[in-house]
Amino acid sequence: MSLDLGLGGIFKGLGNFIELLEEMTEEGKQEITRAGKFKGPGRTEAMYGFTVKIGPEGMPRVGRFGNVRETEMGAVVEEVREPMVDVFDEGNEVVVIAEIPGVQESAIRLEVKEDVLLLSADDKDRKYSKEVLLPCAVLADSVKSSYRNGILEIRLTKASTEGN
Amino acid sequence: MESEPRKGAAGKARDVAVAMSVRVAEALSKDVGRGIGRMDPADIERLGAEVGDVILVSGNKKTAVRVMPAYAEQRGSRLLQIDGITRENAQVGLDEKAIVEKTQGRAAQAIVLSPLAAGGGMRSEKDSRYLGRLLEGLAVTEGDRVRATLFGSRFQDFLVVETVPRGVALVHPTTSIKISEQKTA
Repeated sequence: MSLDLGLGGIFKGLGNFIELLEEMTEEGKQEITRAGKFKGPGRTEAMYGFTVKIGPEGMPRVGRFGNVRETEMGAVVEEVREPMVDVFDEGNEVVVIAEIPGVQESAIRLEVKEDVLLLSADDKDRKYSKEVLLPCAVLADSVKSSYRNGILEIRLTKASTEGN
Repeated sequence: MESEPRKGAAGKARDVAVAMSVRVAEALSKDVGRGIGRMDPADIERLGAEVGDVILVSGNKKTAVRVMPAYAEQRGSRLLQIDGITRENAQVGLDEKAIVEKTQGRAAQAIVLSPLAAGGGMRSEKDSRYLGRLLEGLAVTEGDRVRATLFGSRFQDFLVVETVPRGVALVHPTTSIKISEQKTA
């Protein structure tokens, strides 16, 4: 019997949940994790899962993790976003502009390896990551950045300026 | 061409314009819906602005965008590259003149949006939180059309019915997004 209200899905989920609790009780486990992965469009990867913990009073607590959320429009994958990036070759500098809204400036990490800039931001629930190939090698200790209204400007000094 | 060292805000006031007339040009296709305007970095500096700052664009109406540098081939001719949404919000067409000036956006406490086309599936509170995330960073003013690009290439346009505070409001993670069913003419 199937109801068209998603109830079938919920009961099925509950059935599995009870089985899971039985398994935990039988095997004396305090914590159990189930996770899965699938490929989303583009280069995104969806990851989902949950952890069940048996609390001190024997009450199970369920925590969800991953980057898939349910909305009325269906499941939405909150990918580790690749920010929109522009790279400008400006005289003796390389300027990288990245749009990474919704994070604290302190959550932004920049790392330079010759001609590659690794940009990442990991705030509460917003994650960005991008490897940016630069037009030339830059000085690793020359990274200057400013963050305004979700737009990050990074200025890097070219490693060799003699070749103009 | 050598780039000049940057001066502090209180440094030499050389050739700083409060407002500037620019010619409106088409945005890059990757910029559509981002709420940005690209300008020659020299013009950005002349406005006393820096990358990411909010600038007011005045055509027959006023709207706000965040400013970003134009690519080399679009520099040197006082252009402002904005997409069709921003052009509509400023009531200005391609190749027409607009006035740009630096402005201060304030963090939006709340914005009220009204879906602009049929099929708007975003109704619940959960959806409005997700929507807030899609619009994050945008500078909006009352009467603007804004575009939320959903996962994939689908998008939904909204009319900004109200912003709190009024004026140029920036969508932040803490901005409360309300979806109004109010019909818009």
